[in-house]
This record gives sequence, structure tokens and C-alpha cells, in this order.
Amino acid sequence: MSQARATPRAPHAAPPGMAGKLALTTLVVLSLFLLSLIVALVRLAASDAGRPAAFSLASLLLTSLAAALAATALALAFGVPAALWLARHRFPGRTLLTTLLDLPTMLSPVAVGTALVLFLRDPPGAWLEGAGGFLFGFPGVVLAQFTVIVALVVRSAEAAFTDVDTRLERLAELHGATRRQVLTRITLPLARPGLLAAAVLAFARALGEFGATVTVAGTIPGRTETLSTGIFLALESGELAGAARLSLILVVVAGAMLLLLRKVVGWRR
Amino acid sequence: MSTVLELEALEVRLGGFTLGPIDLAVAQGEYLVLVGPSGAGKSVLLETMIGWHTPARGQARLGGVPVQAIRAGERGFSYVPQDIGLLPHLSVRENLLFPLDCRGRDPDPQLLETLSTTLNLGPLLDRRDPRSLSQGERQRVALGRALLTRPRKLFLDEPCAALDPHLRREFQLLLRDLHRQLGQSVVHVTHDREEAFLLGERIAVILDGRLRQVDPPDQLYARPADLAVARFLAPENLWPARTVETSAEGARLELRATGNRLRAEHPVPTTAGAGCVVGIRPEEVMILHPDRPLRPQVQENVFSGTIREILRLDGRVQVNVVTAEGLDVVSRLPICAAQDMELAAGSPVRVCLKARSVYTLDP
Repeated sequence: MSQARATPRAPHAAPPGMAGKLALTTLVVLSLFLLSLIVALVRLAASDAGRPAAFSLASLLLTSLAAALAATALALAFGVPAALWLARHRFPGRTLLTTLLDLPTMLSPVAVGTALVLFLRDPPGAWLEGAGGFLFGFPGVVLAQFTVIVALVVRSAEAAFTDVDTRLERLAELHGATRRQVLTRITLPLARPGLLAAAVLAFARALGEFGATVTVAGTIPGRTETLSTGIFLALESGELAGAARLSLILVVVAGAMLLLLRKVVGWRR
Repeated sequence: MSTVLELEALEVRLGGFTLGPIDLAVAQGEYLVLVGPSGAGKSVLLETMIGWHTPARGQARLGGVPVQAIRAGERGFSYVPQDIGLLPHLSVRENLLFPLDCRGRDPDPQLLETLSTTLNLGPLLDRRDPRSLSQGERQRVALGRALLTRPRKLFLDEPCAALDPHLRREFQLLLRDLHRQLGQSVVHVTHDREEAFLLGERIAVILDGRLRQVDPPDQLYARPADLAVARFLAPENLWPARTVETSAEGARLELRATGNRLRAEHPVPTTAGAGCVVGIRPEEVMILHPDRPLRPQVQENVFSGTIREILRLDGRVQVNVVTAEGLDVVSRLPICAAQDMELAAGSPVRVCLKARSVYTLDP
């Protein structure tokens, strides 16, 4: 199946005449469409549609934030050093390795979750399961989100490190900096905007993660039920207003993350 | 302790570019300028000296030890790259003190004072973002950073190239003064011949990845080692010739195209009949009135001709003369001298190619 895709245009190359009007129209239609989605959520959330909500909002938010934070921290801990190595070395099999790293990002999260479940059933995964109790437990939520976002962290952090001028590092070494000082005083500070962006994007992605989470950890209220899985449960059980409210919370959190991203990293557009 | 930096049959390959083989030694305390056109390999050579590139053959040694075998911070080197290399996330003061900070040392107050004054760093120190500095200010901060560690060797890559012309000379003199005050060895890369002559105690000419000549400026000016060096330094006044006779007085030469005969006081060793190239710097060509009697010191190598055109340069003029035999001769002299002689295009003149200024080259 092939579909035509809209390619982004450079902002300064304004298409003239008819093409310009068409482009502006698509922009307006797209914005209205997204805006009306939010309006629909707000209207539904304000109504009493469906049965009254049977969930604890605080508990959902707590589980979601805790899991996303833990998954992001883990992804940074594993991903940033790996990214530094990838950015600084050329080696045979690099394409193969990066393809492997990109795979979880490209796959359907349910497939990632399925793979995780199957991995945890037999050794060596079963040993891990024995130690951590991932299946249908809070650690499983973290593991599922970690698996989905770690490649995102590796690849964005790699780009951030690649952007750091290695000549500045070598100059610092020549001027007497130790390896450690080069890392802490040159490389990391210079890569900081990119690393922060990676962290924020990973956190947002973890917060919205559904497929892998629900497959590995299920939706046990107070333990593994997150905002994202909670929305699904609420919809399934006909609690439309509840689903809308949870969705709005995600909208607010995502909006806040994007604003933070712009503020901290100086991202534009 | 010997801190002489020696290059021994050094060859570097980067992509398709090959540098060398190069033999060169940098003496303690000397100001060595590497000069050559863009793309000649000067920066590669400089960065091989500091240990950034691994030689394909040969070695760069510091006190007898391969440079790369010495830990970078212990080589006693400071480097100001062409892009200056200030750290954008540190303030100007932090940038200045970064090398000392890394070593856990405090700056020598007297040196800091000297550098602050000489480089006029005072007003810059409290600036938070080094990117807000002008090009000249950045150069000064980078130079201060490099010198504050009291390096044994200072490496500069085109330190004046990005400066406005009126700042350039000032900065060049600053470099000379700092070298005199502090006495560290300097290896300075430039494409600017005038800068090379102004600063270099020795000048190394690099062309197409080869070291063609290393000499003090006077020697380089008077006696370029080969045709390529002569063309790089001054492309004018180079003529194919043959040796007519040699004697204790030098050599008598005949220019192939026009048959002009002239004497060279210090020719390269040659035999009668052998081919060579004769050259003279445009600044050494004297313009003489067509009919005044000749002074004793300009009795020979004098040819009559006509001024073809006069090019006005900055403070000097270039006078293009064609002799009666059809030889094109270029002379450069101060504007005031040209005005005194009332030189004009089309007017008759005589040119004198002083025998002690004429050099010969193997073809």
C-alpha cells in the first residue's frame, strides 16, 4: 500500500499563488482538527456521560509519573554512555547495531511487549523475572517503557554528542584537562541541550506508552494501571467522562513537557 | 632538559592528502613561521606537531620522545586554532583560566597582570558569553588562555587572518612583543607572506604538502631555494636563461627570450652553457632617469625601456616596464619616489637589475 505523504517545506520558501493558498488551508484544517479533538475531550470531561468514574486519579497519576521517571532515568543511565561511544567510534557492524537499536522505536509497542513477555518466561529472562517480578508488577511497567524509549534516548543523545566539536575536547586535553575533566567540563555541558531534549522526549513517550505496558504488566489498579492504560479501561467500561478527563491530564502534561522543552533547550518550531 | 621539537622524515596522510616527508626542528625560544598558500598542508603539519595526527611514516619527537607518547597535558604546548576554540558554555574569565583550573593551579599574578595589560583583557573578563566578543577580542582571550600556562611551545594557526586589516598589524606586533617578553617557542601558521617576514625568525615555506625552504627572512627574500618558492614569494621577474660564463665575480647570464645579458653576483653553482631561471624581487629593481649619468653602484645590468603602465597600490606603486629588447620588468617603489621621478605611462626610463640582488634558480 502506498500513500502520498506531505513533506515539510522550508519556512522561508513560501509557495506562491494557488499553492500558497492550498498550503495555508491545509495548515488551518489541520489545526482546527487537532483543536476540535481537545474541545471534544473538554466537553465530554465536563459532562456526566457514562457511569461515574471508578478510579483513583491520584493513584493513576502517581503510578504513571513514577514509572515514566524511572524508565527515563534507566534509559539515560544505559543510553547516554552507549550514545557517547557510538558518537565517537566508527567500527564494522555499526549499521547492524544501530538498526537493532532503532527496532523497538519502529515496532508496534504491543509486539515489543509480547517479545518481553516471552523473554521473561524462559531462562535467561526467567531469572530476571525471578529477581524483579516484572510480569503484572510495577517493575514490568518500567521495563516495558524502558524498552520502548531506550533507543530514542540513544539515538538523540548520539546526535547531541556528534554535534560536540571534538577539537574542543582535544584542545582541552592539550591544555591539561584529564579525560574525566574533558567529559564533565566539555563534552557533557556542550551536549546538555541535546541530552535534555532526549530526556524530555523519552519521558513524554514513556508517559503515553500503552501497548507494551499493558502486555507486560496488565492494568492492576494501584500497581500497574497508568493514565494511558486507565483511559483504555475507562472507555472499555463505558466511563466516557473519566476517559476524557484522563486524556485531558495527558494533554496538559504533554503540553507542559513541550513548553519545558522549548524553554530549556531553546527549541523552536 | 631538551625540549626541541623535531620532525624526522614525517609523513601524514589525511583522506587523499599527503604531507611530507618533512624534516624540521623547532629550537627552544625561536619564532618559526610556516607559510604557504591555502591547502598546502600548514595546519596539518602544525596539528601533527602537537600530536593530533598520527604520522604515516617518520616521527614528531619532543626531547627525543614521540609526541603522541607524551600525555597531551604534559607536552608543554598551547594551541590557538584558527577557529579559536573558546568554550561557549564558560564565561570569558572561566575560559581564560580553564587550563590552569584543570591543573588545579592559580594563575601567576604577575603574568596575569602582564597579559591583562598587554592584551587589554580587563574589560572582557566579566563578559558571560564569549560568543558576544568580537573576533579580535576572542583572539586576545584565546592568546591569553594559551600563554597563562607558561607553555614551552605556543602554536598559532592563522591568528591574524580573521582580523580587520587595521587591527592585524597591531596584533602581529603584539605577538612579537609577547614572544620577546615571555621567550617561549612559537610555531605560527599563516598564508600571509608579509606576516611571515614580519614575525618569523625563521620561515618555513610549505607548498603542496612539501617543505620547500627553511631560512631566516633575509635569506628567504634574497635567495629563494627553487622556482616554486620564488613564484610563491613574488611571481614577477622570473626569466629562463643560460649561463654564458662563470668567474669569481659570479656568472654572466643571457635571457633566453630577449637575449638581455646580465651579471649575477651570487648564482647557484653552474657551468657555462647550462640552463637556469633568473629572478629579481620587484622591490630590488631600480628605476633610473633615461638620460642622467649612472652612479658607480648602478653601472651594470641597466636596460632602457618604456613604462607600460603604473598600478597604484596602497602606499606603493607597481611600475611595469618593457625594455627595448622586449623584456617585461616589474618594479615596486614607494609612491613618493614615483612622484619625485614624475613617472608616467609611456615615458622612457632605464631599469637596473642590481647584480647582488639577481638570483638564479635551477630550471
